[in-house]
Amino acid sequence: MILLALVLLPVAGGLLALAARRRAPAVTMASLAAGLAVALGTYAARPGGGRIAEVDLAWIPSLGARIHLAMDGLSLVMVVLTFVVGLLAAASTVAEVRERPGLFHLCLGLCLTGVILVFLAFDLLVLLFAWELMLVPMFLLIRIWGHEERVRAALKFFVYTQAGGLLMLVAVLVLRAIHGRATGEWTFDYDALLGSSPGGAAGMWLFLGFVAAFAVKLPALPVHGWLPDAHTEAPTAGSIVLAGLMLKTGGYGLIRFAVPLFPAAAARAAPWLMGIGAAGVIWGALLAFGQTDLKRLVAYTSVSHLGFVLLGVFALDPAGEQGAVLQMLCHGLSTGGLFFLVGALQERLGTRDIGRMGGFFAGAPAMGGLAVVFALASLGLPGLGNFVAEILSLLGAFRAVPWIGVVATLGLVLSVGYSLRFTGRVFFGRPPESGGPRDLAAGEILWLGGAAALLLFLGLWPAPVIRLLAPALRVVAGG
Amino acid sequence: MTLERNDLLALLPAGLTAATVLAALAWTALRRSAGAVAAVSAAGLALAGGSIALAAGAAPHRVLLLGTDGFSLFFTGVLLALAIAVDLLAAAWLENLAEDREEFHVVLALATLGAVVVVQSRHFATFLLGLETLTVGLYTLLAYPRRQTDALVAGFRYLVLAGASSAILVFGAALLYRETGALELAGMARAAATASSPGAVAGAALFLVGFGFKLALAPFHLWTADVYGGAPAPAAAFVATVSKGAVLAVLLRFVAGASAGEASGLGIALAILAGASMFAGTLLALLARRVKRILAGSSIANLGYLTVGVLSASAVAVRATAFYFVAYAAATVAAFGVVGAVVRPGGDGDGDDLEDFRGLAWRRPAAGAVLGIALLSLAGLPVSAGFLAKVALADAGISASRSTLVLLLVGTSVIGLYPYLRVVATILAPAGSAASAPETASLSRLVLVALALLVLAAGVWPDPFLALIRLSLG
Repeated sequence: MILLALVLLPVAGGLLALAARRRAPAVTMASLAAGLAVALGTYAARPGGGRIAEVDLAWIPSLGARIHLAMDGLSLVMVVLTFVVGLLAAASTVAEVRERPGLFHLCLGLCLTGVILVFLAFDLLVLLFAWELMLVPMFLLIRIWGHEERVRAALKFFVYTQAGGLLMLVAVLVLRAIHGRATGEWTFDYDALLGSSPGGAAGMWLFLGFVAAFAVKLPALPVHGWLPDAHTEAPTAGSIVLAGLMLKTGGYGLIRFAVPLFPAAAARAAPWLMGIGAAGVIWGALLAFGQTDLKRLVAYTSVSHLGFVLLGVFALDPAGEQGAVLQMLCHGLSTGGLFFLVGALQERLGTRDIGRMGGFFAGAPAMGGLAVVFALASLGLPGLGNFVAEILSLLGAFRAVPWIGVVATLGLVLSVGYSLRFTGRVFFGRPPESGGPRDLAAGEILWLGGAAALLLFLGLWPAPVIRLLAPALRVVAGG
Repeated sequence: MTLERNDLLALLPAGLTAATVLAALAWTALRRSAGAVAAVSAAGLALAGGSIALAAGAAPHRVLLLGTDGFSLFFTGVLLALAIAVDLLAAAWLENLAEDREEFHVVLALATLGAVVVVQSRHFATFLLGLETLTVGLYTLLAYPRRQTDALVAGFRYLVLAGASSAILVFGAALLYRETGALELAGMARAAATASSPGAVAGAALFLVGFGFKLALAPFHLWTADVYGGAPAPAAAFVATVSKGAVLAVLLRFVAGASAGEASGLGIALAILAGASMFAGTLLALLARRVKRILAGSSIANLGYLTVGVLSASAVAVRATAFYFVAYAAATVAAFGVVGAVVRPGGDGDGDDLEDFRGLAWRRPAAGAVLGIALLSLAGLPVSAGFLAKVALADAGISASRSTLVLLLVGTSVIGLYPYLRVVATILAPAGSAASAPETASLSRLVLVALALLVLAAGVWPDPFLALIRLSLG
């Protein structure tokens, strides 16, 4: 029942926000804070071993689908991340969203509900449902409140993700039919379907069906085309949720569903997928270099950072898995923070063009200081969480396929380049004559400071999180 | 022959529908009042729908070449409910029409009677009788605004093609009859499925062509876009749901009953029609610039999807097909209802251009929301019924090893997203200057909102609907 509350809180908050209109941000933040409290409370009251919480209700008996939600360590950290990043996103709307704030927050709440449902789903139909549930509200966020090219970006985002999602749908249905024919039990239940994957080519095709959906969301290299447009054109809160959370559903899906359901196929495909991950690390970083649009720059860094996730997951090694999950957490916080700052800059300056910025540190020290922290996190400075995450991912990769690890390490070097270019160009150099943007408000500093503090915590003392993740990751890496 | 109590009970739904036609006609003759006639037909059809509970008590039962059982009563109920919704939406649409409006409701009830007879028919004679009653009604409905060229063209086109397709159907039936001597639909379907002699094969092929025309399966779909595009929105909704639903029910009962497996020629031909329809419908919707033509494409593609369910032939597949049809029909009637509310007769004739819907969501939030929900359901997205219906249908297809068709279904669904999303994106555009759209009459708005809520409810908690289907269809 706690899990149902976690799922429903954001959308309930969104409905209240719809009624509250001008006070919408406060209502959403209250509901998300309540959700965060519930999630942390669940953590504090967790039983010794196994799953922290579970609920299993009848849903569609004639299809054998149940509302089976469960929370283990992995789900817990992802849900906590969802609420934290959701709060960040809601905080960003206070200044930015002036038109139809109620509807905006309803869409935001629906997105978050979809994301949380993905993180808790232990029934594959619930997973598919949640997967598609995220799309429409995000489409609306981009379409209604986005920037110049919003219509095209919204359509592109939708069609890419839906194509992947429907391939997964077919894979799920085939897997269930195979299980059903073998056992007479027609079910979508995750636990029941574990171990019923066919071997050989059939298993590989089904695995690829799942990977298609998750790789588009992650995004992995050839199917990342929707990401720069969607991130650039979305309103700030939309970019934060997209980068901070929706991409994570891809990584989570690989760890929770694709690998455990099809271990043999995953092992065979692993080197190829690691290669794609390493290529993403390099390619994203190179493209980030060339961007003049600040939001686009941050968007491409996501392609690069999420490459580490793919790399870590398919190292199929405990260190790699830990790195992948930590990378998702840290990327959620650091990129969420960066998008927040870019949104604040755009709101103040009316442009995202790097060429028209420079020397803002003098006029806006808080903004500049936080930007430096998030940029340093993004380049993997030791002491911040991203460092731990990337090192663990690379460690896993070195053990699995050394040369891929070597190539991916180059990405660390490149990330130094684009991160320093970003902060250097925008905040340092000659101060503008007009005085530059005004500094962040106290509330904004509070939220961003919180995110930065969490990054520091993950960087200095990741052990509790890693310990929490261990049982779930053992299924994947076998270690 | 004498009619017994059970015979009368079994005939009650069809009989009350027929009585509705007479009552509406009598009312029109006595005193012209469009509102009253619309109410009389809606009430009569609702009464007929209510009598299904009585007929179910006597089911399964056969009388006068008609048969009532759970299956036919379920579809009778669905078609009656759709007809009531169209009737009420039509009442609002007709308000701006200069001509007399009462006859539209009378003819609508008559066409519904035809659809009910088709669903309950067990013999070719009753099938043809019902089909012709339905079709003759449709000519009138489609061409009802007789001063509008588009509508006249739509009606005339339908007259020619439906006439031709009926002729083809009858010729096919004659050939099958010559081979096997069967005029019972079940026997004819078996003969068509196992046809081997040239005469029987030709008969089966012609039979299939006839069905293809009625269901607008590709390559017999070419009339659809023009007819929907020109016809009054309520009439188009009726063609897309009630008329196709009746024929689909027959196909579902008899082809699935004859278990036209993959090996039979009929099964292969039907699979080709299904695949072609998915592509043709999606392509048509992609290229269309007008909302009614997009809906026409959607209808063609959706009938292709439904045919996958027909081909899968298991009890599970029949239930999934029924559920999918309900989801499709509710969303289609809702979408056409909004189109009808936006595009009124007396306008400049081509008012359903995409541009006319720009900013609809802000100008008229209720209409915009209903259209959005209907389109998302047709696109198969949660939390609308379309998603779970598509899952159920694909699931049935896969468990019947129809993997190729299911992959086509999924592939065309992805491409098909674009036209729906384009409409949704357009209605969300900032409102333009055309802010003076007429407000929807409150009753038709009620119908639209009810349909949208139904679509959402079935998308989140489909169990009551599926339980009813299971209870009826067994």
